[in-house]
Amino acid sequence: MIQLLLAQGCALCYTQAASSTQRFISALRSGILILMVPPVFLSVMFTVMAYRRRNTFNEEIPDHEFEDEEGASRLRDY
Amino acid sequence: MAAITMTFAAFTSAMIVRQGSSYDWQHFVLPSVLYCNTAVLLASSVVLELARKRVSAFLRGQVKQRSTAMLTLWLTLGLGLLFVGGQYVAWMELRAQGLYLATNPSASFFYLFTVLHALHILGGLCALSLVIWRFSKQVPTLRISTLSAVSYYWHFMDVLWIYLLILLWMRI
Repeated sequence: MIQLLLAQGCALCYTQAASSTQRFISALRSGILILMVPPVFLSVMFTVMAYRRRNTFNEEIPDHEFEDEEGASRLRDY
Repeated sequence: MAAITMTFAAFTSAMIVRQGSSYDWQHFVLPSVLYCNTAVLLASSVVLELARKRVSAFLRGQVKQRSTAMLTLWLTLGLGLLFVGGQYVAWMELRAQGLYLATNPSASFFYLFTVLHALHILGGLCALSLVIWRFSKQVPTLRISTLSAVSYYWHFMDVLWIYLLILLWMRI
């Protein structure tokens, strides 16, 4: 199973990368790791956000939150 | 913002791979005006946060005057334009040193990152202009959520620029 997972990828790219210098292979590894950072970070962030807001619903803003009727009507129009 | 993050991550990855692929990478000193630009962008973020609070207070009816809110919005716009102008000065400085887009890979990546970021800042300035226009009407048609979205985008640009500056300082 692990062998099958590791076999994913282009044979040409693999051969070219394997025949390169150690410096290039190291840079390639770093480049791949960098590409992983944003999706992982965003996935974790959205999961945490969704969990924290699991009990939040759309509710109308009560009028008593405004200091005057003008402000309330101004906001209500939007 | 996720798409922008991914775009810049892809370019960062490309830069690191390109740097390791051959020995033609030339290091150069970043123009000092970039640090001033960073301060300008940070200041614009702070002013925009003040503007957001004041505009929200006006739209909620807690404040009667809109002049201070308008002033902070214009100030943010001005600081944003100053940042773009500062970036232009940095490009001119590099040009004077003989570093063009195709001079070497490091210069290419420097121009790529800074120009792409400046274009996104211009997009933010367009959105901010729309906010000012909607807020300046006799009966403002600005939604608080619109201003919040613009301010989140602007703060994101701020964080992105700091990341880019650190990256360029370390790698170029």
